Amino acid sequence: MRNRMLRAALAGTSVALLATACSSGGAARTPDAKSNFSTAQVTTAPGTKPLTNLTWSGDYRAPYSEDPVKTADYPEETILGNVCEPLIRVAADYSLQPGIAKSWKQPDPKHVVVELDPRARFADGKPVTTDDVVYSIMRNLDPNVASNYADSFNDLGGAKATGPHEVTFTLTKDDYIFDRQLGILGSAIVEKSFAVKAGQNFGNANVGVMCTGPYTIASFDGTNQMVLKKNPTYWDPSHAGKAETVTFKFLADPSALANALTSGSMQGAFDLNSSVIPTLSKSSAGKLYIGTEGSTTQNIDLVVSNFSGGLGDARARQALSMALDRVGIAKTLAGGAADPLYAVAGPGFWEGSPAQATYKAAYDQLAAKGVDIAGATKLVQDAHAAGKLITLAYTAGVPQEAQLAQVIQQTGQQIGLNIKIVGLPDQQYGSLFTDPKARAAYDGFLTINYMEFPEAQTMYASYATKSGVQNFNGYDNPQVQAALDAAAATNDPQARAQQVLKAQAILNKDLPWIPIIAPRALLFQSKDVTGAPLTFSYMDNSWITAVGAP
Amino acid sequence: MGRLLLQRLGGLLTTLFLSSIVIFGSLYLAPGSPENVIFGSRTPTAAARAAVRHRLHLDQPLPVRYWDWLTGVLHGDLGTSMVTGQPVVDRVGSGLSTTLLLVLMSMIMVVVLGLTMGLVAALLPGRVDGVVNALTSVTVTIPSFVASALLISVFAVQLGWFPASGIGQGFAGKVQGLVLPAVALAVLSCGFLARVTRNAVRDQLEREHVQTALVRGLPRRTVLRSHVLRNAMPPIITAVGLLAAGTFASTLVVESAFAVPGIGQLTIQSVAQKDFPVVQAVALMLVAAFVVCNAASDLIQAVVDPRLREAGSTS
Repeated sequence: MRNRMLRAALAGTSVALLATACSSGGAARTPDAKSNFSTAQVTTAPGTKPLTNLTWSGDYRAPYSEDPVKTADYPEETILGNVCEPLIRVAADYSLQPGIAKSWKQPDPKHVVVELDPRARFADGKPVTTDDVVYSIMRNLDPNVASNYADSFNDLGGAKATGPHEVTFTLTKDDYIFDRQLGILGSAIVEKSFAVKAGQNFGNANVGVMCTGPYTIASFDGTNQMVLKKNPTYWDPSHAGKAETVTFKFLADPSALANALTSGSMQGAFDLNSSVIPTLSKSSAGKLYIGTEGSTTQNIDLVVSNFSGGLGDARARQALSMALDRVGIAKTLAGGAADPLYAVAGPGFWEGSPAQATYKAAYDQLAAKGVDIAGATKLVQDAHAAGKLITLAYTAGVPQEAQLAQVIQQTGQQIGLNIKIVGLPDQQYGSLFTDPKARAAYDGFLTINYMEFPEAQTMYASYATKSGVQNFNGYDNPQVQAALDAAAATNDPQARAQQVLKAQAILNKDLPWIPIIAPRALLFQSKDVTGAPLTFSYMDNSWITAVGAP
Repeated sequence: MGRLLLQRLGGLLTTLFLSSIVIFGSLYLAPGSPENVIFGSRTPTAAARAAVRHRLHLDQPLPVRYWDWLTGVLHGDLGTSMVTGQPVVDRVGSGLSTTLLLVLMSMIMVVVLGLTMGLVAALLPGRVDGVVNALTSVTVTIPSFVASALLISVFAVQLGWFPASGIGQGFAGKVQGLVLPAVALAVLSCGFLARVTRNAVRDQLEREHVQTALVRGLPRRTVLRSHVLRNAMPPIITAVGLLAAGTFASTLVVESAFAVPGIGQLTIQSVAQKDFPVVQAVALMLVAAFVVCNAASDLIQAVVDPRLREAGSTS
């Protein structure tokens, strides 16, 4: 069920040009980026001392709204979890920990019962009631709220208070993954009376929000910076922040961001562009952390959005996938800070899982196939797809995306596919995900996708089930649907892995999406501060509380 | 003079009015819609889309929306941002003073350095002229985004004299943070103005009346001031006006390179997001800056040259 894609970075071609002009190395000429931490290390050394101010990158643009459910993209998901805590806390290793929900249990596959911590308070001092929790979660299903996380709650039938501090969620399907959804920003708890009173203005910069987090928003100019300040009456002293204020700045240009980090005017950033590796790895201001294979859930894929065009025949899609030189693409396009990806839910979704060995065995088989141009050419002929026009879109704002599109075009040429590539301005590209009319002109488009937590079932369900929010092509395979439903319906990691792999095997033949590469985690932290998580867990969480002076 | 001022004011209002129609119309015709920004990555239900469109008045026909906007503006209300829901005044206001200061600093550098180099080159032919010529030949080929990269790597990263990113606190901090961006903007314009100045002054120096005045024994300084410079001013003033107007547009690139919190980022984003009220406000400010700069250069010309004043119009 869920999330999000685009990372519609950079805001203009001149700026993109500048990025290329500035980076002294340039991604293409960078030797293999050396990863310098293992997936077993989930966080930098915890901060111990307080800080007066911490300045961090809020990613490529300012949040559109302070309302936690309005938009699910990097800036919102990096910042807002610190202000509006989700019901369940997620640790740096992605484990679910008590938060507003002191405990939770799933007595049967269709019910999740949550016990609230009676200490939990909003920033205005009012206690969190079961009413607030029910309201906050059910907002996701209200079409007028237009929650970006609505798909995460596809299986939610209803929520109601079943005790003074107890809320019971009723599910429409057997779903043992639902508790994970209570740890994402869609489950951020907001004060009902405040939100109802603010109506459609809830979350606007001049109205704000009322949440329970360790930080509140002190100021936000809508474009250049957002300042958070420590919530002095935060209800959980053991999780209180160490920095008095936290300033988020929004720099669209990767080299401007690199300058800010090396000169010390900014102390850290997640989700860096690989073009900054040469500059930042040399910096004495702090350390650039480069993850290993599987260090994030990010995956770069070709979404096939039209099953009636040149990629309509599964054999044409198989041919393109077979002919892609993923190893070469990862090396040249991402400066080595990426790995070839052979299944959309790659190692980032199961590294460290109890079923890792099972997933890995299946994945290694896929990886062993290698590039087969002759075989691909034959498949194209069998599918009668040779010479048919295939139009693919990509976001023109990101230089690497344009290069990737060209590689795909050339690969197509080699095997007889006639591919036309179209670079779209960011906003128009963004519409591909929300507006069927915008997609109609294309056979497919490139995406940088991610999930907030590593669960392969969720990634596959987002594009390969009927209710998947990213099912853009109407893909409908009863076997895949059944396997993914069965995967969600079991709480045993091995049994779930078996079902997911069943679906994965079919999806790798049907290829509604074609996996290409998976970026590695790239983050920078100044030597003056420490504590930032090294996993993707910073998304949706109050990660700032761990950051302090060393 | 008063008539000229009135005429110019009328011209400004007409230009703003026509531009506002063109900007509004072209934004309307461009693909995409602001509500898609708000929906992020999720395909909304038809009902949700309709509700948001209604709230933002996107379901109204173009002329009605334009009329609502125009009447709002005439009542002093620039509207609210469709994306963030903030009043446009707040979104624009936070960065405007920074951008204005940046343009001002840059133009002071352009005028001082450009005029000096041009004059020196014109008055000292030979080696000095050659050096200035070579220098300006290089600077006129350096666009601001290339200059930004060079300046950051030398003065901010290697020497550490100025911040590489963002601006400091208070007026002094602001000015210090804006020095490099202003230089990046000024490099190209300086070379251009120096060349214009050199040629204009050179041209006057060769005129017969100048030669005659010198032969008659008038002091060289007087001849230069009253006969050469005064007559050389019109093309120089025109150039300064045009360069100032162009600098406003160039700030977009330089601000994002130096992470200066001006209105550059806002402009780029709001156009991409089709945030109509914000785009209107920012774009019209750029148009106004252009018109005002040109009008100012014409008015200054009229002050310098009485003939233009009497003609009543300089167009």
